[in-house]
Amino acid sequence: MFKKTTTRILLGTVAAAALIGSALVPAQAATRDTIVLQENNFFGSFNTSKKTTNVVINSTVNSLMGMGFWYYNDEADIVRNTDFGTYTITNRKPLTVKMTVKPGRVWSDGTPITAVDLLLSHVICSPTYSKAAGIGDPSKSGDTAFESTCYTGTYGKLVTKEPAISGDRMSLTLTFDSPTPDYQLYLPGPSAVHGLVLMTDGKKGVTTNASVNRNAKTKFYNAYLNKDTAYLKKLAACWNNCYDMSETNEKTNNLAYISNGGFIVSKIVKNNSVTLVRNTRYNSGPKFTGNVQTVIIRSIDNPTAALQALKNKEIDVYSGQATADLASQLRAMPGIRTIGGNANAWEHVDLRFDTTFGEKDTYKGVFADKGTAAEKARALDLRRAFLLAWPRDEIVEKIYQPINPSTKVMNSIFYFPEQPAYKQVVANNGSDYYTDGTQAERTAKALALVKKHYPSASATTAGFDVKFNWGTPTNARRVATIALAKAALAKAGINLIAPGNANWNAEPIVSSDYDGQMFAWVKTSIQQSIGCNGYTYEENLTGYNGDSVIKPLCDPLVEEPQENSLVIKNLTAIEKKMHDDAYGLSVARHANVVGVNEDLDGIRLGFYPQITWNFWEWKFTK
Amino acid sequence: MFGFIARRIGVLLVILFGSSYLLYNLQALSGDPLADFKTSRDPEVESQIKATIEQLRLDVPAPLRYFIWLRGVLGIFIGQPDFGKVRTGEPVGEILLDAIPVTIRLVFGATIIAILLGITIGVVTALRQYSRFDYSMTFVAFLMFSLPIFWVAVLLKEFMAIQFNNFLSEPNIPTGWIMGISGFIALFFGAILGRSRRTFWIGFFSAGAFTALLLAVIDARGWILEPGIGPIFFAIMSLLIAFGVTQISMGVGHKPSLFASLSVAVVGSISYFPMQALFKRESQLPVLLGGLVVAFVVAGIATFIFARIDRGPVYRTASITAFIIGIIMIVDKLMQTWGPYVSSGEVQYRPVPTIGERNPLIETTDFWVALLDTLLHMFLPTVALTLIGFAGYVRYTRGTLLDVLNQDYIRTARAKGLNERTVIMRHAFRNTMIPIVTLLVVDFASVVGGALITENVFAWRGMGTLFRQAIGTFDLNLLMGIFFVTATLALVANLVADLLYSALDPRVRVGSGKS
Repeated sequence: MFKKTTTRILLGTVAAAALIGSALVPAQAATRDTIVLQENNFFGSFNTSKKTTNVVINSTVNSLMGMGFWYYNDEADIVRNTDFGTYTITNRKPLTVKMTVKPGRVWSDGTPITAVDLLLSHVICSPTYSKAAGIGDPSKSGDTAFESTCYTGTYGKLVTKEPAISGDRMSLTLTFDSPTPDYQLYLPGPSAVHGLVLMTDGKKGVTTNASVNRNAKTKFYNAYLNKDTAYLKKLAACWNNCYDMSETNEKTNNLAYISNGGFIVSKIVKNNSVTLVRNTRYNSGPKFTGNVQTVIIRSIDNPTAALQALKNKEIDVYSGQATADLASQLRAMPGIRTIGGNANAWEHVDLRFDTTFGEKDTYKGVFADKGTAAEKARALDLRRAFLLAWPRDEIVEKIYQPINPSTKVMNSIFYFPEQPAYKQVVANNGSDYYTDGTQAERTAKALALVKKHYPSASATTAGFDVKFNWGTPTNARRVATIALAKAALAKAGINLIAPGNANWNAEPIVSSDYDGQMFAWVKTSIQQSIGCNGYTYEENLTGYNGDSVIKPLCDPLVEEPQENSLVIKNLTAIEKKMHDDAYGLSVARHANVVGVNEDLDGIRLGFYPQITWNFWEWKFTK
Repeated sequence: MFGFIARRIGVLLVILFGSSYLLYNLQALSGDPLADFKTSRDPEVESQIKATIEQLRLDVPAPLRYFIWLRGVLGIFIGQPDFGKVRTGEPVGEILLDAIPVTIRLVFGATIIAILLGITIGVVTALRQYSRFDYSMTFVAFLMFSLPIFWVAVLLKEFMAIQFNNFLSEPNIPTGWIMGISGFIALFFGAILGRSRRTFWIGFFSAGAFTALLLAVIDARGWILEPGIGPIFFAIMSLLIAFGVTQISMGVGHKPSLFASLSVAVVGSISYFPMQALFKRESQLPVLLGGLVVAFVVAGIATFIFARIDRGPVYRTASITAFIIGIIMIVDKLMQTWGPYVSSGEVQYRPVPTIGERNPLIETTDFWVALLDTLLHMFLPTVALTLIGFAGYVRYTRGTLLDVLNQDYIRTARAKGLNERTVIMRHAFRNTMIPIVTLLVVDFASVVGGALITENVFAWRGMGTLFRQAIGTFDLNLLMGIFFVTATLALVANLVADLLYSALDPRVRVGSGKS
């Protein structure tokens, strides 16, 4: 009897405990397959080649919906996308490139991709074609039927001959007017021209009827070949308007978003979010190895709000302007992994020499490299003093290292410290003049140089003023940099006048109002052509003329690809010349920091686009 | 009455015209819409300037350009208002129509809650003048007055969203927390109820023990992830509500009121079961509206049966009871939706969001899931706006009620032997509302344009965002559109306030002014 009761009580207790226990343990949710990204602005258009629609979020959406012949990886290398097609140089002089689309590539509606799809890019970028087809002269403002910003780009200057399409319509041959080592950057990408034609003809809704789509594509090709001005103008009117949409609703024409990328838009909520789902017919790029099925891009323009949304797992990736504050907040966040490190931009200080090429007004400031030999020597001394006193160590330590602890002062003009050739270059490029000793010693040296020309100058009395241009007063990183620099330069008897310029983004950097400037260059991936051209008299922004030395060293590099040893040798010599003339100094490579949900694998920071370049690798582990 | 309203509307139109003319010209003077182009290096800049001048009619000087705008707006009388276009090309009217509901959703709930909470606490602090409760609430009110919303928002997001969601992944309430929360609740109710040491301790212990027990049960049953009231507790709550509402309005001693409310509660409890089935139907709007009508009809029948004379107050009591019971039934349904919602793949046990108006991952046609999602997204902004807004009502109500309580007619009311509830609720409170109405109505009008920072912090896109955009881009049409809406609302609000005065204060009569 007693036993029975005890057993009952025991059983009852166990059952109750089990019940409570089962209520306490939450059921585990299935592995996620939706990634949520964040952008500052609102989605407005699938056409990013217009001035009004060239907005980051539009490009991000397009990057998920389109694949071309190549893409940038996370090391800023160009990777050939052989899943989509191939391109080869068939002739060196003139440079001729044959691009072939791999057979079987299809758009999201099943229409095969052919070389005809590459032609729209030529229509909206080539002034030569535009004039020949009677759809407007891009050199006259507002004259063109297509409101494209591409006409003023490099492509139009490089390619004036009409591209040729092969008999099977799978290959396109492009002829460049001049040698172009970076030719890959200008290869056209595919556009769903049949969608444009159908929309122009007033059709609504994507169709899988192959003949309708094929006929539409042929119609475009014929209009292109025959330079059918009337029809091209109709196409242009649609191209200008049909792709603009801020939301999807029953009136939306989904012909505007035919995709050959991994994803395709399924829903746009006005001013809020864009939802993309996998493109089931995707075969124009690497196969999916991850498990992300849906991408949502949310518009959040308040950085604090976005940061907290990341912490609350409402968004999975957050990248704001990398400040020390942001970096430390992201690192302290539980459940968040930080990625990043170095960006492909670097900060540098340049000084003025003279009126720049093609400029009307003349530069007459303290650094002017003109007049008598004595005046030139004086300007050189002052430029050297300025650069010696610029506190690069302190700036890197206080502003860059809190974001990326491995950031170093950059002593080369062309090479990042992380590159293998860097040590070899720095040993011979004359930068040791600006790195010898401690900053205090360098400041003393600078003060001595200033005193030579302004005897009254001292650590407390300024010898001369330097007007300096550096960006908008809202750029936190540069504000901090300038504060450090102003204090340090004062110790060398130099008064830095640098209040910032609210019109920085709108005004040309070149201006005779300033004696120097600080900004960032972004490195494109192809090493050898970057520097040279940028620093010849015709191209540089300071009026510096070192062409007698630089041009002969540069020319072979611009002509065509060269051996790496020759590239290093020539670039080192160019750097030596520029350092000797006190042209300017690099400061440091920008640091980047991005917070990612730790359950999400495969996010690596690309060069362009930063986040979405490897969408096929995104994978949730939980 | 009609003469009064007509005259006021006439004045309203004159004020609208004058102020819009002034604002239009001031804003046109304040900035140059072409400023962006003047520093541009774009080769097409000339044509862009030309196009902008044409689009914005900058060739016409501002004082005359105003009349072009006015002509469009006057189309409102023939049903075709034209507020012009924003600089990116969309019509201002459409943009405003998109933004207004968002802002109203954002501020409406917050304003209502702030009013209810503020007035309640204000009344209690006045009745407990110079008590510890009074001082604490004064402190809280001044604290809330002084807090900036963006900072409150950051804190709320951290503790009520991020930390709460973290907690939900393992929802065990630690004993320390149970004790802490119970202690706080105990103090709060002890202070409200305590006029003497004895009532203080009774309030303290009963509230504390009840909270502790409730939290312990919630914790042990895993109620947080699978909440719900259930038919039994629903019935108990309904009866308690019937008692409570009767006590406040007529006193439980008033038998007709008590019986009417109690029978409403019984009918409500029984209808719990059929309602569960009705809630599963696809379209919920007729169900909710029908339920509301039925509730008021039931209240009417109950009043008819139990009250022979003085049916008005009895009906009011019964219908308020019915309404509150209906709200509880909806809350119960939302609680039942909570479990599946929270554990769904889209929510992943993180139900409280920090940004946005709805979860873009959720693609549902289910009314209750959508409603719960919307309510959860409204939660933090509403709490933030309420915290900031309710302090004013507390101070106003307290001051006014104290003023009123010192009037002669209150002493008269007490002297003729009315009980305290009648003195406070019927005689004092009604007069307290007169100045509060001014504050309330102006608040409603101003919040529509004034939630600028809140919208930004919570990534909502309402009137505040538009306002910021209009100022930032020198968008005159957009700014005037916003001004038109807010100014009209403000003026209408004043009209409503005047009408409310006459309803509340027998000394005020609205008329044509001749009598």
